[in-house]
Amino acid sequence: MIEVKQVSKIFGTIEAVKQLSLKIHSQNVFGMLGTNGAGKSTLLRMMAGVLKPDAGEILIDDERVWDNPLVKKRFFYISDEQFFYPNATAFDMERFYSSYYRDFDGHRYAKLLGQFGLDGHRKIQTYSKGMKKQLSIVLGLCANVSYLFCDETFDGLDPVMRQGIKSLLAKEIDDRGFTLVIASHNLRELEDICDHIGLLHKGGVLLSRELSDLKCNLHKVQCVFAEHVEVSFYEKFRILQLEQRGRLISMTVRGEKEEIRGQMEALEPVYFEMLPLSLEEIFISETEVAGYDIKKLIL
Amino acid sequence: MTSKSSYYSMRRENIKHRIGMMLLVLLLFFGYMIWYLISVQNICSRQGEEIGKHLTELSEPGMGFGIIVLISAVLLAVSGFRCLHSRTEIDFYYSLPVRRRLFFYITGTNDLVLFGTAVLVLMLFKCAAVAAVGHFSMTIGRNAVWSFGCYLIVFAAVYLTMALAMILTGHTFVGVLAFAAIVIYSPVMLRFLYPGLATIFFRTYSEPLRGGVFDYFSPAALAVKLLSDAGPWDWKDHFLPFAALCAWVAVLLATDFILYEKRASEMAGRAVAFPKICPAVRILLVIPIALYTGMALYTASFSSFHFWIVAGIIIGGFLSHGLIECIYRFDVKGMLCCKKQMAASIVAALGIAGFFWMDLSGYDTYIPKKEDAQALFIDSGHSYTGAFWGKERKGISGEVMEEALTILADVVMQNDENAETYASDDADSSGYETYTVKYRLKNGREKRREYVLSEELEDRLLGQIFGTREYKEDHYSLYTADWSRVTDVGVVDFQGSRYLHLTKEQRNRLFEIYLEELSELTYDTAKSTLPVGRLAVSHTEKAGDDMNPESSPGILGVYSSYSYEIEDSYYLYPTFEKTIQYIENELKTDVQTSMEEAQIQKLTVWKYTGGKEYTITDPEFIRSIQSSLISSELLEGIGDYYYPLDNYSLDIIATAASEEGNRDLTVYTDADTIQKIKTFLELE
Repeated sequence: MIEVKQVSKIFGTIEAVKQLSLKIHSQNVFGMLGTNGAGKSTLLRMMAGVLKPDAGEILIDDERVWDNPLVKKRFFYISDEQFFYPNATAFDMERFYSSYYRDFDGHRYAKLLGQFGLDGHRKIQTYSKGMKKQLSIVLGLCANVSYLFCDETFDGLDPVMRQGIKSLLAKEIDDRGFTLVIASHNLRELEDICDHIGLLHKGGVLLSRELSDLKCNLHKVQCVFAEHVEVSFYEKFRILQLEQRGRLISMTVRGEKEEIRGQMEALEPVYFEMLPLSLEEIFISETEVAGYDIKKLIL
Repeated sequence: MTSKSSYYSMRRENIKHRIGMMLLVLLLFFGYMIWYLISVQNICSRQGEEIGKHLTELSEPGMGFGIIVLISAVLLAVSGFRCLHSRTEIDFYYSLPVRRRLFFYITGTNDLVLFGTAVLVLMLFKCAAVAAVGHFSMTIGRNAVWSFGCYLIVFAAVYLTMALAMILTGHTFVGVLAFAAIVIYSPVMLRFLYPGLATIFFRTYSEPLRGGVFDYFSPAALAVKLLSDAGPWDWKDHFLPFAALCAWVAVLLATDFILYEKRASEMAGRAVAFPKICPAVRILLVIPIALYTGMALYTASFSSFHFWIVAGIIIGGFLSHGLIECIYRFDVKGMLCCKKQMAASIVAALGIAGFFWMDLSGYDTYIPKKEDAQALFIDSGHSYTGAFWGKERKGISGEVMEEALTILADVVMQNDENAETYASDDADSSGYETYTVKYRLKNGREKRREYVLSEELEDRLLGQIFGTREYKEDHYSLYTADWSRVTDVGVVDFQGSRYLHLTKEQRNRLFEIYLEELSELTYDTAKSTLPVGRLAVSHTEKAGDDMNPESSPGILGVYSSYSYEIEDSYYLYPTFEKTIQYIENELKTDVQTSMEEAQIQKLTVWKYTGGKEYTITDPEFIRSIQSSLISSELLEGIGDYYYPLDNYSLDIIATAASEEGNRDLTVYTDADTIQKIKTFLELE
């Protein structure tokens, strides 16, 4: 298990991570979501032992990460722009990493390179950005570690390859039960792979929940009433987002589905419908509550 | 914690990753080897020269290879620690399951082993090359061992300094700038600051440029100090810089290691990795740069207007502070940041300049109390004491010194006025002379001052001291010198110079007679009498003993000659009858004591009337004045300022017949004769 306890990180005058606490359970796929500058990469780099927290501590399996080679042997960190030695080939990198990760699976590595169509004897610097990403993931998987940290890993992959990687990761999780932590701002990328979501905003955690719980607790409600609704109407619901066009009211509401349905039916609307929320809509709603109006950026 | 395979993998990859830079360093070594072989061949091809001696010189530690050592250290340190400036590399290395310090250790040891091995191979190669031509000796073997030690310690010191600069910064360009700042701060910026300000603001400042101590605060300057030597390599002469370099290596190693451990990874790509030190660095850099800018503007202004210094300090302070801030922020808008600190630095620089300007230390008015002074050393601007080769100068002491101090008190009082007159273009400064006075105090300290003396003060001072034995021993090397160093003695008169081929006994006797008569010479005689000839005494001097260009080593420190000859002049006055008689009677060499007998064909005179040239061929007139002429060839070296020379008289050329044909001689004469010439030419 990864425990982030009251961790802070300040870059000059910018507080990148503010007293952040988080628990990532083993054998979970943890999606670290957040706006740009939310502190996802900073947190991931601290978890990987690259950055030292200014305050608080990060524990992996109850041991501190910072400058602790024993703990570091249990994870593999894929940064958003992975470094490879100039002139190195994929097989050179295999030799390099296998000296640090004892369980590095060379046979599987060769097999996966073949499956991804990566020439192991070709210099990595001649690879495309997407190919480098694939190679990073293959290296991470073959290191046979308990934790894999990926920072914006699906960026630069074409849709087919993205699905391929996702399938590979899913199979790996099923077979081996390792823990995957993925930092991304691309909500759609995480929706079909993560089972736990941590939503970061301005250096803090807005929420950390099972994806199923998150989806269950937020609902999009569309309704039309015969007459103008009173203010007391809105007070009945825990509204995260509200939009009114003429008499059509669209709301993102937090709560149990049946409870909301019951409350709506009791108000006798002309028209009423409850729609499932996409992860993106959940993200927008939650960040709006925290004062981050994504529409202002879009418009 | 770290498995052997991880350790060796890291070591191997570290080399592979920097193989280009390492090959470049090895290429420099290879180039030096080629050069060395050519040098050995050149030395061996020289006929009649001491081949063994030159090959021994070639095997000594020197700046020739020292430059390669410095370059290698910088290149390897930059390539080794450059990864600290790249976020992707930092992410890669620091996420690996090894301790951070291992990267420092592996990079450092890899470079040290590479360099050490290469130097060892080079030393073996040098020994083998010398052995192949049959000149290997124990001295050469010992030199190879010293060289190995010296180059290794120089490499370690410079390498760790560059590493420190890389650790302190987050960008390679800034790292190189930081290295330059660390290296030059003490031996250049600090060393020249005080002399620069003192030269501008203190009228009496006349210290020779010292400050060897400043080299000890820069590993690179220490390296140069250790490896620069024109003479034969003597370990005792180099122990101090070597020990200092060892201390530097220990301090730098500890500092580098601690800072490496403390260095925040997120500083990759920033200008400075430890922002808290920025204010201190800015102040330390801005104040001297502002002062130097002030001095530069002042020096550039021929008017010597002191307010240029103020302007320069403000401009230099503003620009240097802004530039440092721009580099720190990688943003030109940084020019106007941290205004308070900028103002504080400028005010501090102005304060320092003000301290000198107002002479708050009382530098110019200093004169020691009689009870504090031990000895005085008085030299005029014409004194030739730079080439003094007698025993240690003792100076003037006792009652004569006390009397001289009384006169010097008057000199100090009048110094401002005299200095202004002397420096002024409008006033006639021909009667003024600069004197350097060194006060040796009883507490062991020494203080030097330069004064401008009017003719009256000069006469008072020299009238007091010239006749003393102490003064003469201080100015005429022959009194205390080791006469066995004398290689040649010649006599020079208007006819030219002739070597005296002396036995040891003749030489000693000649010097004894001469010094006996010189001791009797009074200031009045020296001032009013033209010398009739001079003794030219040549002696050997060890290379590097003074600033003589001949003493500097040859290119890359080889082929230097360890000794050279230097010539002193000792004047023969008409009163030195015993000396002249000894030369003529015992040494059988004529001394033409006057130009009266010279067959002067004509006198060419110009400059008296704005550059117009006149030729005097009237034999009668020439004969009437030729006893008052003296060849300028006689007046070289020590003591020429004692003679009543009129500056304008330098422009008389006498064409005299000799055995070799007509000779043109530049001649001096006295004021009366000048007047006679002017009258003859009807110029007045």
